[in-house]
Amino acid sequence: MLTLTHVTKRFRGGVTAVNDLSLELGPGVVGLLGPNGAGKTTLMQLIATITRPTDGQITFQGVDVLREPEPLRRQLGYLPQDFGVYDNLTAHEFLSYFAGLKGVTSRSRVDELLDLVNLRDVARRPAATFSGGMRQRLGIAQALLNDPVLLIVDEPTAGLDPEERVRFRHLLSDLGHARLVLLSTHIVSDIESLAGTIAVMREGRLLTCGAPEALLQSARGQVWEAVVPSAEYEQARARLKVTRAVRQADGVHARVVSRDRPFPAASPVEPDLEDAYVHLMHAGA
Amino acid sequence: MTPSLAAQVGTIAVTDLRLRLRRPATLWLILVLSGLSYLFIRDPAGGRGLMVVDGARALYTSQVVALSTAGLAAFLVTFAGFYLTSNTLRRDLLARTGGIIAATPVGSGTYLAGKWLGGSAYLGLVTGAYLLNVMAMFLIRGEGPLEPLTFVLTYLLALGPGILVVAALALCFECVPALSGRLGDVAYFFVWVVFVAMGAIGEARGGGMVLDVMGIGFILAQVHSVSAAQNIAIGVTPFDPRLAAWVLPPMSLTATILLPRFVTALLAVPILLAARLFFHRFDPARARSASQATSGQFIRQVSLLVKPLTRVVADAGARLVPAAPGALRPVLAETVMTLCQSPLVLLAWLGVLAATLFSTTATVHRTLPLVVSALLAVGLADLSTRDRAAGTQAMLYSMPRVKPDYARIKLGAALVLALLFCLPPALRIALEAPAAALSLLIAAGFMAALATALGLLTRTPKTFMGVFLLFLYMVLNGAQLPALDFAGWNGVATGSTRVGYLVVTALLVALAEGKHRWDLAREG
Repeated sequence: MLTLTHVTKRFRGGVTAVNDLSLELGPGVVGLLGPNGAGKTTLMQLIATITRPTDGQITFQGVDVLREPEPLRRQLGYLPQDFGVYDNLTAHEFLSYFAGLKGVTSRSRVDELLDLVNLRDVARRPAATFSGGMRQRLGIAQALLNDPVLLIVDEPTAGLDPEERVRFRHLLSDLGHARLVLLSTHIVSDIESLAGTIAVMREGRLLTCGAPEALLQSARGQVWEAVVPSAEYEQARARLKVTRAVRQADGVHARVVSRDRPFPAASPVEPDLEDAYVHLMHAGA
Repeated sequence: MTPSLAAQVGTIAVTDLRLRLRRPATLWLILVLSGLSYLFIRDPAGGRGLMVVDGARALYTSQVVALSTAGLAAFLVTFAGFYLTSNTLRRDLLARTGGIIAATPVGSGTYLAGKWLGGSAYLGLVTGAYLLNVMAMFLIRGEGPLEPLTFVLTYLLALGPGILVVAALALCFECVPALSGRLGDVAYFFVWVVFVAMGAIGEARGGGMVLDVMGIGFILAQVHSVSAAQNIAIGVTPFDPRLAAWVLPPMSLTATILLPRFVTALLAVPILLAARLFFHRFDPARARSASQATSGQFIRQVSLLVKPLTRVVADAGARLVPAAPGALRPVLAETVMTLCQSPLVLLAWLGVLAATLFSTTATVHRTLPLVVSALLAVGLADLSTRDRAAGTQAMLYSMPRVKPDYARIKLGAALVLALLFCLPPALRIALEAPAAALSLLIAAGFMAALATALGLLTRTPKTFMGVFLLFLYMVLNGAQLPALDFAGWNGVATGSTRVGYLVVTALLVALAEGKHRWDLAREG
């Protein structure tokens, strides 16, 4: 469905945001992980045809996107990370505007999406009065207006409350059956519950791309849990990769990623995706 | 154009128009235009007429009132129209919707066409509101039957091409990296001066008619087509009551009249093509370099060279600001920030200091205040709007006393900056021309208050730039009028002039403070 071949994006000034990245993706939910500055947002902008690569090729359904962006744009839903609304437009007007730009002719589509994101009751209110979560839901509705075959969402759950996040995850999971959903997030649990493929980037390069199980497998036997005396914890944290820590009466209950047993009393545990991600970042350093 | 393409253009134009009409500035603009229509159409019994031809006043028929008021509006529409419509791409960038638009199937040409139509429709509607006011005044002061069709046709022919061309220019300036910032705002002023000149040339036959964007040549040609008059004055002009009132027959719509206006309107097309060529389509790489290029490569290099000086100012600020009394602290902090943020303003200030020390007294009296005013048109423009644009206003409001005192802090900082520029030349000429020195200091207050009030009222730096540059143009052209000699460089300012500008400054201060309080009350 979507193929990237040796894609590089170099900005004026010499910063290389995406470096010789190749990737082939089919239908399903793909989670894109990586630290800040890894190049995730630039990669998404490249696929969304907002910016052009310095080198390389991107094809969608066999069509060269750089030469012919229109076929992709017609089937694309895009929610950028740094997304805003026009304060003077109502939610209904905002969606109608983007429906017009996307060539969506169905008059009921805007209402359907307002229902879907739970904004029907406030559809006639100016967006200036919306909370961060409401604006985010409006953005999600905008991305779905044209029933896209390729959905690109950059940090979509930022600003959503826990209940909305769950709703949104279900929505993406449903959408991912028949189309390609590319989801970038810092919240590993968002990806854990719905991504069939996980791609990890660092410094513009693709470190890995595969099923979550493969990522978990790579960290197996290298994740430990231990109770560390409070007085020793700071020292331990400085030399080890601690993924979680809870301070309790008997000390700090820490979860650590380490090739070797970090403390004599540490016991190995089954890694989760966050551990596997930290392991990958640590291993590649 | 396919139906879906037409629908896309329509959607973009309607949304653009909707966003513009919902701005508070639109209401202010319509109020100002209503006031102008009242001022322009004076009762002839007072000795002043709307159109005076070789000393005789023209009878207030629909044709005369339509032509005259269109001629007066042409100056505003072609000047203010640019600043009113030149923020459409910036709005999408600031609202952070540009990336989404870029990812839709809408073509770049379609998008620009929609934006241009939206801007043109906005100017058309504002002009329409002015026209309605003019017709209402005609019902009171007219000396013949009201002929709405005459008004509409005259306005369409006189102002229509100008509206289309100015909306296209505003879009084009936004697309061209070097013209998309304040440099472009200043550059347009000179383009407009060319339009004014073309208006005079436009009355002649030939290419000049086609370049008559303002429509002034077209208006003068209508009068000259029925009269060999040497002097035609439009505006509130004294006339000789002994002369019989002059009657202008209705305009005849011939191809000779229509064709040049149509061709002038078509000037918008190459301008839009140039806009399309430079449009970044919200590509972050190109949009970023466009914003960097706003000040131009040369100016950026100069800014980098001056950067060490800003460090000196920052260090001085770090010592001075904490030691200042409470109310003065945020004012000084704002001023230091302005100088550090705009190294060119600092460089310009050093230039003014040098000119004050090494120029002749005559130059410091007659020329330097003009240079200082032009520099402050740029330096003061965004002082009261930048926090909202940068998204730092909420952060500032969380600091002690900033929220309630915001307008006063901005006014104070603008005043300190204006005084930094005006005080040195004022001191230099104080002994030889104390009245002019006083005028210059009052002008500093006036400019600071105008920049702050217009910034808070309209939330864009362009309003102040536009209004103040137009005002400077009037000051330069009305060198004999004491009322316009606001900074004393024309040497005709009187005591009443100075008192008048002090009163206006006080009103502007009250306006800025009132608007801020209204905003606070509205936001809760």
